[in-house]
Amino acid sequence: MLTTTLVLAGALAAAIPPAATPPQDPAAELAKIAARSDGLVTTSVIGRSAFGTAIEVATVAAPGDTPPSDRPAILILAGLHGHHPLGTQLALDHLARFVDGAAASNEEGDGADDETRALLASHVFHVIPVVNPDGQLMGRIGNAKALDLDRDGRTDEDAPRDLDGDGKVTWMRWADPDGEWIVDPDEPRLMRKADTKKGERGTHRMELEAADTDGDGQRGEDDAQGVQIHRNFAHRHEEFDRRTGAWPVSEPSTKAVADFVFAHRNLVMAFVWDCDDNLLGKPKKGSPRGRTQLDGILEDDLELYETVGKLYREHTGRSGEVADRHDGSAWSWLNFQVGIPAFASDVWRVPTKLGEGDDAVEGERARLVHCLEVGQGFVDWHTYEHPELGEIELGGFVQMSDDLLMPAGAREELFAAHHAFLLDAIDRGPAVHIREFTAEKLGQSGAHRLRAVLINDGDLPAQTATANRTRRFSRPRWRLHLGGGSLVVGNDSGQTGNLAANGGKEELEWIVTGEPGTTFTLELDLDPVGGDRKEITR
Amino acid sequence: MMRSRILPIAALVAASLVPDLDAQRRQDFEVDVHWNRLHDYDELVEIMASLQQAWPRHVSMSSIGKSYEGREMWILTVQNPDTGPAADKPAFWLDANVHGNEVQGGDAALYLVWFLMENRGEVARVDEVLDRVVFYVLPTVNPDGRAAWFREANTASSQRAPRKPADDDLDGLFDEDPYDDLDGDGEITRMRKKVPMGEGQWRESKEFPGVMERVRGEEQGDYVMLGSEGIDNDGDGRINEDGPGYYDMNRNWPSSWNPDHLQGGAGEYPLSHPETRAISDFILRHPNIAGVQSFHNAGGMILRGPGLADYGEYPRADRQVYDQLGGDGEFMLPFYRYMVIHSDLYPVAGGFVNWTYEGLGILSFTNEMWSNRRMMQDAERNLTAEEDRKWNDLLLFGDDQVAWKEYEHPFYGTIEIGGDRKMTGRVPPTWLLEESLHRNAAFVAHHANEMPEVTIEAIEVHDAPGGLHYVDVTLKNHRMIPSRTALAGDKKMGRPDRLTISGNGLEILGGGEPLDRFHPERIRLQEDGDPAVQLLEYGVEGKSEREIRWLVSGRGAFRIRYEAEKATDREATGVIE
Repeated sequence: MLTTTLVLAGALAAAIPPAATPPQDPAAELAKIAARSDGLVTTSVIGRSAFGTAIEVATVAAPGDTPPSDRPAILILAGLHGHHPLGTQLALDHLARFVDGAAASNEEGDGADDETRALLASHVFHVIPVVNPDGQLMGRIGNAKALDLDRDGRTDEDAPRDLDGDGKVTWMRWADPDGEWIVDPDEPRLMRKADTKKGERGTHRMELEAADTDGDGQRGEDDAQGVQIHRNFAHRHEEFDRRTGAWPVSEPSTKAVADFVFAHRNLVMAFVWDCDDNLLGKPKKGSPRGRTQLDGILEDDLELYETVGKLYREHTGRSGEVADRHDGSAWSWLNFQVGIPAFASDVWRVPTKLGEGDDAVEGERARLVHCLEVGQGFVDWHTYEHPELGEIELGGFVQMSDDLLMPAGAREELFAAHHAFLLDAIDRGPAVHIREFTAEKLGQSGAHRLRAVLINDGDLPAQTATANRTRRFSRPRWRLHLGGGSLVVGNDSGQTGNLAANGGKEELEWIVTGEPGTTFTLELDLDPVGGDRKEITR
Repeated sequence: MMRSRILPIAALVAASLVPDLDAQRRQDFEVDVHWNRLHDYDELVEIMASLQQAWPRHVSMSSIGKSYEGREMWILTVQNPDTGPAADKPAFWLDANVHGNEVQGGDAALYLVWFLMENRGEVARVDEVLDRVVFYVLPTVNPDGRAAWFREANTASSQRAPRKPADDDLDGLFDEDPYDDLDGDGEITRMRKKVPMGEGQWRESKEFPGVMERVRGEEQGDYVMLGSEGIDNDGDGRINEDGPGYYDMNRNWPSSWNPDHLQGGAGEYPLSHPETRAISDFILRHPNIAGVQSFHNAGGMILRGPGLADYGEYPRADRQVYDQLGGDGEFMLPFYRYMVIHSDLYPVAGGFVNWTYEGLGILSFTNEMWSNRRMMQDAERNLTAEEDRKWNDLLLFGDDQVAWKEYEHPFYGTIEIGGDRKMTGRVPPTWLLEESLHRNAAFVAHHANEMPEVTIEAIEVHDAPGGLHYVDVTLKNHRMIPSRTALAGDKKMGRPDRLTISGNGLEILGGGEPLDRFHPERIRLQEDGDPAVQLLEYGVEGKSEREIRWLVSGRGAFRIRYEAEKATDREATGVIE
């Protein structure tokens, strides 16, 4: 088996160039993009991290008929998990593509890329590339908050750390008859749990590279990773896991995002480029139960998530089964509590399968092959004199951001595919119209019966089932202006039911009177998508 | 108006120099407050300043933040500085008035401070409390709501919310269709319209003119009730559908928080209001808080969680303490019932006392202060509607009602406006107020007095085989409330209590809980960490003792130290001869 692995590794060598360089300074990159955007991109500070660093939002909008605050708005979040700089890079890449696209339309007069300018004149994008600046600056998963995971009154004092000075935190293994692990007989660089049902018996212990820094008899038990912003949102938050925060939205980063979201009622869709994913796998279905927060997508919204997921896989060529996580994640909060469709992906991950047929390798084996090829992410086991354990071995997979294992050449294509997906996905939405507005004379009385048919021609319902449930958004509203006439039967204003996608409709009826020449006007409005207006004169 | 009531401090100090006549004590008050009337926000602040000025060593006043409209959230810290630093004493958090209309709790909170301080040095039991514990007293969680309730025309129930505007009717406009004081009499009352006999569901009482009764069975009515005073301000065909708020700050706390569509009034996320966030910041900075009371105003209840049935039950050990204190409360507060929120009242997600217990492990109650049963001295039952009217008529001289007046309504045409005043139904009349404040304040003092008091009760050294020694330390909690609630232990909240032994030349070989008094060697050893530091996840239970035994090598003096978040730290010494 070892030889198979090596052969396969050789075959893939040409395909996987060395790993990409991590982003160094997203704030500077953002400032550069804004500076060359000719006013298209404006930035503002929406809050400060636990450490005190500014959290910036970039707003992208071109001049248009309606002010940006009344247009459909799209939110893009990234940089929540501190080890996921790729999402941040993708968010910045969207901005660059918008700016470049709009600049191209300017230069060429009639515009080779008028689509970009038209999109930015009718929509507004709010992009928060680094929700958790602490994580990226300090190399932590979470924010700068000091935690006392072992409840000894001291914080962050016993974290896994680099003992042998190779600049990496890896694993420790040592022989111990009580251990649960064995060295994989097929691939001695990998460890696996002994399968006691098959008569195997553990021979080793394995722990993260750590020493008992605080002298309490435990190693690496008070890690310095801060509060995880990507688990601190308010949907199905884990209450007593200190790493997810003392309560939902307890952290400055999550609060800044939440306050921003609740201050922008024109948001219609969101994308989260971070560690969570609801686009690769099949979305889980949930059913309302009493006061319990939903643990899956409402049945009526499943099609939307499935369709957009398929769109994503087609654009990016990605596949794989990834469970959608709900506990405190940003996308689940946006979907289930804010009530806007929210799509999340980790953009890229270390392959879980390489090769085909008999040569195929999966799981850790695939990861090992990948790491060897990109020249990062794995350290050969080597002996080390541990202060408490004596002679042990250090090595195995490195504790690091998976993003840094991405082949450099893969980025451009992947980002272009994600941008194309974004444009495709936001093309979906409700479109409400007044299909008919007619008047019929009632006998010789001078009274008229007015009738109207309101219809949704869009490919999303006027409200998703979830939005309908959260009651944060109004349904389409209509108002009849009488132009000096009088209403004999009916209401002069109201809200429609939830007009279904692809032809959901509602009929209205009134009886009115008025002098000859009276103009009746019917207005239909769905914030912030837009509406319709029709007149009739009798 | 206020100034004339609270006498100048200098004069009071001078007066107190007059030789004290025992018979006169507790009648010559240092701070003179009329506890038979309610006080608005500005008046509460003035009383707080007076208390602080009268007893500057024991009472300090500080702001924990600002409300939505910018009012300071003043708290009083009350303690005896001569008996140790506040941070090392068990502390009691007392607040009130989270619902802006539920005002009398604010007065009760300050009454407690006033009563304790007026009696300090004269009543031994008062000194016992003040010497041992700290009180943090926030008389109004919702200063804006309180100010508006007194200042503006309101009902007994309006201004419950904080003043942060909300779009209740989802029309893009905020708070644009509130109640309207149509007749300008300073009250929001009811609207009624006379209709032909048989077309209405209501009629006016024959015995008590002005009082409306719903018709029953075959009876015929000649009135339609049209809701609270108001018009359709925003022209959407509905009346009073978007008033101030609506948020409910008592649905905004973290534990079991649910979003607005599952729990009305929840707010955008836990602690989304400046008021709730300021309070949580303060409470988290004070892990010594071991008791909580949050006064509300209607129902005659002593409430504890859980707020939701899904939560399950609280641990048995904590329930026993709750039941003891709740039972004492029922005795001290006639006609109050000790109840569980979700099963005896209604489900609440994100309630304050749910968070302080379920999230922080602090034994917490909410008293609902006014009860109609309080109207009579001996009420085995609620008064009937007729008796209630008679009571209002004879004892309140009918002043609970505004007489009906004709009014030309833009939508309903000719109607009448009148009915209950805002002071009717949720706050006691002046002559019952002071008693209510005292009983509730006394219950808080009792609750505070039962916060944990742990002492090192005994240290014993025994010979162990091999020239070693056992060192036995007995901790005793003299009060009802454990130093760590069972829930705090179960959920690993905060830090466990610690009992430490140290001594030069001593080696601590092991330590733990002795299991058998006749077999000193049977000890459940602590598994992890330094055996000299014993971690007591469940602290010391109420009214009980707990023993720790160390196996020690060597001889000489040693020091025992007990440290707890919610009880005063202790030290003692011993020697192995």
